[in-house]
Amino acid sequence: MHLPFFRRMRHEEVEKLYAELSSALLGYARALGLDHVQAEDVVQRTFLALMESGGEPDEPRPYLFRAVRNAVFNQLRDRARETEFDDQEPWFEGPTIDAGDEIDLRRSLLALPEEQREVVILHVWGGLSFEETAAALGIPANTAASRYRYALAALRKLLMVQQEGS
Amino acid sequence: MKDHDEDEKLEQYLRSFRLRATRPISLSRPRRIRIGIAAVIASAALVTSFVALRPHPKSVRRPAIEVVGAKNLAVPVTVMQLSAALRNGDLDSTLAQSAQEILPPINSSQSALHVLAKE
Repeated sequence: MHLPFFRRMRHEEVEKLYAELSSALLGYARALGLDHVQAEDVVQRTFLALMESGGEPDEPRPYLFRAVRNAVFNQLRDRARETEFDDQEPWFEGPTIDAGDEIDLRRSLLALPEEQREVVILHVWGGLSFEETAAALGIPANTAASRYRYALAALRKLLMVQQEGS
Repeated sequence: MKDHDEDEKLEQYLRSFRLRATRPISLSRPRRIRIGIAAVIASAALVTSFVALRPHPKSVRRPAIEVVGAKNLAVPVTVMQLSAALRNGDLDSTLAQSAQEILPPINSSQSALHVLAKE
C-alpha cells in the first residue's frame, strides 16, 4: 500500500485519468451498491479530492479504485444501505448491447460475493493487473487472482441460469 | 485447458459490455491555488486603493528659517511714542532707534538678509 505523494499532479494528468478510468470507477461504485447518481457523485468527488490534494499517488490507478471503494463503504455505512438490485439504471451502454443481456449480466454480477465482484470489475473493466487490483484492495496478488477465477466460474453458471430463465 | 478457453471466452463476452460513461467533470484548479491567487489579487487591490486614497500634501512646506536676532514685531513702536517724537522734533532718531531694536542685525552672518541671499 503506497499512500504518500511524491510530486504534484498536473491538471492534464488528472483529466487523462478521468477519461480513462471514470467509467470503470462508476461501474465499480455501482457494483458495490450505489445507484447511478450516487456512484457518479462519488467518482467525481474522488477526482476533485485528487486535484485538491495537489499530489500524485505513486500508483494512481489502484489508488483511485481504493479511494472510490472507501467512499462507497462510508456512504453505505452512513445510510445503512444494503446492496440490492433496486436500481433500474443500466450499468452498461452501447448500440450493440441487448437490454436483456445487460440486465442478466448486472444481476449475475450482483449475485457474486462482493469480494469476487469487485475483482472482476477492477480487472475486466478497470484494466488493472492482478498486482494493481491487489494494491487497490489491500490483498495479496494471488488472492486477487484466485478470487477472479472463482468469480468467472460463478459468473458462467449465473449467466447460463439467467439466460435459461429469460 | 478447457477451463482456460472458457474463461477467455467469458472475458471477451464481458468486455463486449461497455460501462456507462460519467458526465463531464470540471477539474478546476485546486482550492489552495485559487485561495492563493485570490489573496494576491486582494493584496494588490488593497495596496492600490491605499495609494489612491491617501491624502496628497497640497504643497511642500519649506523648513522654517530661523532668523537670529529677530525680535517680536507685535508691538514695535506705539502711536504715542511716535506722536511724542513728532512733537519733540526727533522723529528721525526715534525711528532709527526703533528700527535697530526691531530689525535683526544686518551685518550678522545669520541675519535674515544673509539667509535669504543664500537661497
